[in-house]
Amino acid sequence: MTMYHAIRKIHLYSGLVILAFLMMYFVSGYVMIHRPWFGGQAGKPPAAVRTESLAGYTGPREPAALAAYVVDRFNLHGRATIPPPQRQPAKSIRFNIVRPGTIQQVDVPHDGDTATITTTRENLAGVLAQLHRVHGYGGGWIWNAFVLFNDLASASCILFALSGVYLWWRTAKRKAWGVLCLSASCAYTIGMVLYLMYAR
Amino acid sequence: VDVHLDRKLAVVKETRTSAWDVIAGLHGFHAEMPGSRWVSIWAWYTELCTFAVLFAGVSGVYLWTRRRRERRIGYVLIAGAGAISLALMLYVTLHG
Repeated sequence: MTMYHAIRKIHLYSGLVILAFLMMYFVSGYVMIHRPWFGGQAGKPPAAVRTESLAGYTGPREPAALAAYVVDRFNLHGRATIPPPQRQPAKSIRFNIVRPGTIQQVDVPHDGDTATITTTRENLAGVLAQLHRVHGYGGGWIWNAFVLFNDLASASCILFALSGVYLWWRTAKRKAWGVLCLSASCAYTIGMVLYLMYAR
Repeated sequence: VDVHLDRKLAVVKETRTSAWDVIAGLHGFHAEMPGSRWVSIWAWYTELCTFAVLFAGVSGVYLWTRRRRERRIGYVLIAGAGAISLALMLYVTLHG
């Protein structure tokens, strides 16, 4: 098998495998950049707040241990994220249990045995936006599989670009327009990065 | 910018970001930047890139269906991976 055929097969097979995620990226990305067209922030239900007792908890009063306990005891679903110390409120320990479209913010007072759980739900546009942004392993094996697919889709986008350029270069008889488009897009992107880094 | 009206003073603190932070910020950046047409064009470029993703997917599938060879393995991959992908999206959204 020649180099050309090998790269063509990689390009084809990786494209077919991540097609669904690529389309999800398109749909959710488009909704994100035109959020007002898709209802903006309208239609979101009000946040639901409930307070639960932590009586009987004897573990350490630190976010990770509390998060594991609260998730298990109150049957919360999602990935636990813990804000850094500088973003923690003064009077309580805070962590979030997150899945696309639903954020459950948990506050445990430093001097109390309760957990206040504030559940915020998104509208459809918000669900798509959060689906687009899912990242970070550590939310159970299905969550990790989703993030792995997300990572593969991201890596494939780079692979598509490189292998696509290679395949075009090997097959195109006239390259002038392709070279022009590729050069212009690369120059603009690099120029933007440099401009935002150094412009006064 | 911190404006102190009582002292008739404005304190401007400028923080420079790294190339990686700029690249992360440019992902999905779709806003006007006053005074810079160069940056504002990025919104159009983002729009173009979004549709380029759609075109890449649709045209890739079209080109694959035009070929007789590799059709069976293609169907297996597209059906299997598509079903797993949709199931993962639904499960993660509904259950977490």
